[in-house]
Amino acid sequence: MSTIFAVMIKDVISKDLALRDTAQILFQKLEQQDKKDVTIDFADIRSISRSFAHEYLLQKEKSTKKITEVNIPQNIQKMFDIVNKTSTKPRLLEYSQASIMSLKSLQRN
Amino acid sequence: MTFHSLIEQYAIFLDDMKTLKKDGVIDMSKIDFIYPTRLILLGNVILNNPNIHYVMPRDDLVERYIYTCFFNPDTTDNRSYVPFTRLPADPQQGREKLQRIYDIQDSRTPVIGGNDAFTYVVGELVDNMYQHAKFKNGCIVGQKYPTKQFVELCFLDDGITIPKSFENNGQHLEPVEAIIKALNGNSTIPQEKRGFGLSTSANIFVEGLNGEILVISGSGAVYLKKGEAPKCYTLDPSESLQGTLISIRIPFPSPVLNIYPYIE
Repeated sequence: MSTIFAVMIKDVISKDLALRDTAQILFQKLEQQDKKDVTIDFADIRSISRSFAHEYLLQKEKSTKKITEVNIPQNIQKMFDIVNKTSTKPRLLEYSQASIMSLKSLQRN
Repeated sequence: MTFHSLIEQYAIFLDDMKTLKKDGVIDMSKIDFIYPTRLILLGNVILNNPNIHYVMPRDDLVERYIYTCFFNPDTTDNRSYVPFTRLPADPQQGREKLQRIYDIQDSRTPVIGGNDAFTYVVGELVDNMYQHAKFKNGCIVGQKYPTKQFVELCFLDDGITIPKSFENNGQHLEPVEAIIKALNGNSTIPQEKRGFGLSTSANIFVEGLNGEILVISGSGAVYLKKGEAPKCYTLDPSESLQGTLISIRIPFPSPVLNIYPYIE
């Protein structure tokens, strides 16, 4: 009998990993089963949001299980790498330089 | 048929609401063309207030488009780029709706900078709704206009607003200041490496795809377009939005975008 719990993430969630809540649900399910070693298979995953990747890594850090990922597509691994790096956020505009108008100033057609 | 900018559509929606208040009816009879921003705002009011009276457009095509969006969005006749999709408050059900949008896009020619850009921004902005907005009703809709050469994509929720979300975390900011903080990546959830969703999505739209974005939340509105000075509006109580609207316009067609430089 296998001592490893293997899971296809596309079957538990879907091929597109977007919402933080779904990462939390995934790890809740992993914690509920009794095997210590867990393999998460990322085969056929199409996309991942930064938010999901961040939540996944947070949950993995807190998990009591020994987690191994396999078959991670290149674009998915890239997102995990980006989240692991310390990043600066784009500053699109500064409040101190914003000129604030009233909507009534809008000239409508 | 008049071309309306994103903020103009919001102003027209406010006129719709004034008429509703005065005459007790949303009168769409004269609408001969409707863009997603006005559509999503009207849809949110009509679908979530069943006692409201409304008059459908006299123009057959517009009437059929609005009817399909509001009352029959799952039909295969729905040619909307992103079908009018109501998001439930439960994230698990929301995930299923989001997946449907992804699956539809996967079967079509990529539009908004390719599949990576589309799935990233839609996923991040919907996740933001579930993480921050505490909404009862949310929706997404998108349409592409090959002749006018743009795509318009909108996200709307009736939640607590960006300024209120900051206030709940001890930061009392002017409404426009709160929206700018959110656009610059400051999260209302005090956790390391949070706050990238809206800021990187806006970066992709504006810097990466030469698009424009309008964020209206509570009494504030911020509009960004590459190459133009930002426009910020303080809304008086009759103009304020109970929730958050994010409307985006991107040139169509757009080349496939490598999103990683905009999210690192």
